[in-house]
Amino acid sequence: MAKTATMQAESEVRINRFLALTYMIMAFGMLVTALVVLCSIPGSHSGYS
Amino acid sequence: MFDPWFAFGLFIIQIVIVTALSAAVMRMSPGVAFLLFLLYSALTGLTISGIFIFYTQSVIAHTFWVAAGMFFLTSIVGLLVKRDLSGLGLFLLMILMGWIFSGFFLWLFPFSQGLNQAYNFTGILIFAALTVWDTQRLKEMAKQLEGRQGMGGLVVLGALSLYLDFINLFLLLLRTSRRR
Repeated sequence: MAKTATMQAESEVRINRFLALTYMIMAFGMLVTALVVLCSIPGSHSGYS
Repeated sequence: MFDPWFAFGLFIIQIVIVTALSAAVMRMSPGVAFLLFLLYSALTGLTISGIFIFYTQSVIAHTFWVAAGMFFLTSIVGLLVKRDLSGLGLFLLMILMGWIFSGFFLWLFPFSQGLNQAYNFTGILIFAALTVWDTQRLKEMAKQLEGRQGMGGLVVLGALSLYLDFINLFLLLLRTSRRR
């Protein structure tokens, strides 16, 4: 009984870790996109105008 | 100004990256998949940077937070909802295809501003539903594949689908906003 509960808890931790990693990578992507967009604002030194 | 051919080239490269990631993510090392995802994100940044021509910075910032809030809420719904939404995927895909086709039709034969707005709001609903579905799908995927090989690639693929949902939500919300 206790073993099943432990296994279930471990499984939950793994699922949560998977989801947390997914959201973290997505956030990295958003950050890269935001940085590129901000560098491209007309008037910024590297942007187009 | 942004060269249309340059933008078209960027668009093609983005399609190639998404196709490569989706098709070969299980065979790639997670590091390569992650780098491809970052490259795709940077290219998306270049592609959408033209929004500053049409919208003010305050409108863009305001829309970003609205999109972030909407994405957060729909994602929470996807994580918490107990009902199995797997059957919704095909239905949403069909609606999405019909929506893309009608967008092409509206672009060729522009009818009215009202119809365009209705098109944008329909798109927002579709991508909100896709966010709920994608989140639940990722949760189920994590349950079924835990501990197996290829998890790293799947994490990147999952991040890509959520990223695409967010970007589309943001751009569609922006299209409903007031232009310069």
